[in-house]
Amino acid sequence: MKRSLILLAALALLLPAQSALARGTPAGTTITNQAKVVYTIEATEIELDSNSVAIVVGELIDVELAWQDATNILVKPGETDRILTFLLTNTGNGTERFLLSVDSEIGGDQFDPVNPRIYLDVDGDGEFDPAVDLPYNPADPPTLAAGAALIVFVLNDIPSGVDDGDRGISALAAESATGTGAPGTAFPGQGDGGVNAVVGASGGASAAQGIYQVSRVELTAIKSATVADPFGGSEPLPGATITYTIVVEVTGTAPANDVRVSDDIPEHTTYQGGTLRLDGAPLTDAADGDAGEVLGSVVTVRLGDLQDVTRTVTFQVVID
Amino acid sequence: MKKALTVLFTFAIIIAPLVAFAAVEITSQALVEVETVDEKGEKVVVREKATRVIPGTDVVFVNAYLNKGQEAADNVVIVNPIPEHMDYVEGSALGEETAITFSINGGQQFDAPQNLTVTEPDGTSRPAKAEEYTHIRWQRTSPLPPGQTGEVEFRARLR
Repeated sequence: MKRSLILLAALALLLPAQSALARGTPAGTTITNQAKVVYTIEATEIELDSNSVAIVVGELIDVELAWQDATNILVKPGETDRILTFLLTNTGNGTERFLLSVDSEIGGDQFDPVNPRIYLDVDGDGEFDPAVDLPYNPADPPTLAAGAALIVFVLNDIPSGVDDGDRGISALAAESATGTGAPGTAFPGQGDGGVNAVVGASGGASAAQGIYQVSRVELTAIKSATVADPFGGSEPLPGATITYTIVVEVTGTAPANDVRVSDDIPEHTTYQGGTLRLDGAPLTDAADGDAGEVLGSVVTVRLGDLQDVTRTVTFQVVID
Repeated sequence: MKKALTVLFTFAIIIAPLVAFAAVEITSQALVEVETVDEKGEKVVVREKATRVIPGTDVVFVNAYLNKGQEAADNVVIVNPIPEHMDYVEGSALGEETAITFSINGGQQFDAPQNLTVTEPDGTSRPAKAEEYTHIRWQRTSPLPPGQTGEVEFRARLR
């Protein structure tokens, strides 16, 4: 119980900031109409008010759920707790509780994410924090004031044995705890403060799908060496020059981030100054802001983020 | 006690002439139109008393007036502010034997819709929208004889 109280308090804090989305006059508002008549009898002007007629605004039940991630969530086979982010908005004019459900076993994709779970962004920061954000509890569904919004996270695990580019869909659904139905369906007396509640255009329910996409990034680095001896041959004699070539190849549907090539100068050889190249273009030996340097006996070249590309690093040493 | 009695007497003296003059009464009703099927199986629109309405609903406000006095009432004018949280529905104001005008400035001035303009912050002006109307005025074009009734109405949509 204490836990749910904390949740409600946190939600209450969250709501005012986003209440600009409120649609419609708040449920329970009393609207009055009063006309007046002005007339003249024997040159005397008389003014009289009508009775005041009052109407109470009923509750319109509406909800909107939207997937928030800008792109498919890139995943690797066997990963756990991968997060999809959704936004649940009470687009009605009254306070409503919303029941949530998730289904990851739907069609239109190449694999089914497994072990789906729903979490509420209790602190409203938009980031999933397992220490703060609570799992959705069907016995205590989130309550949103008119126009208020709540970020909802869906976590799934990714099965192993999925292929690069495969997509897996997880669908989140929300429905009003008061009820759902065709627009116009009425729930007498079940709105805020006992007013009638009526289902709006959303039917009192909304669903949204989030997509995971498998990205198996493959990175290979192949090193080769060619020898040129002082006599025009290719014997590894003292004084012979060895040209090392490192070919880095990245394949897959996602980038490999911050790729860095690091290679030790072999013993009994000496690095030949000014021979470091990236894709044939010279790099200085100093650590001076370009992509590479030679410090002591270590050659380093930073290749950055690579996707579906091949990069070639070369340098030369002379056998002592 | 004596003082209170004196006050009451004073009221009685003031009220008496007013009652004699207060001959025209006005009664306001709020109605919603509901589509039902009659005995012949035909769809008919029935007006019901509006008690609870949801945003987006049109409410029909009907003001019935009656001259209960002995003399004709001249210059009969009915003014109805558009209720809070509601927008006037364009073209919905009706009233026999009345000239209907609207206000967009809280009832200070009234004019026909085509003469109502709004000046934007940048200085340009445009025709006023129906939802910008604040008041409706019905001016009877003829005196209201004793015993005669009349009715004016308009629709407004709940925001």
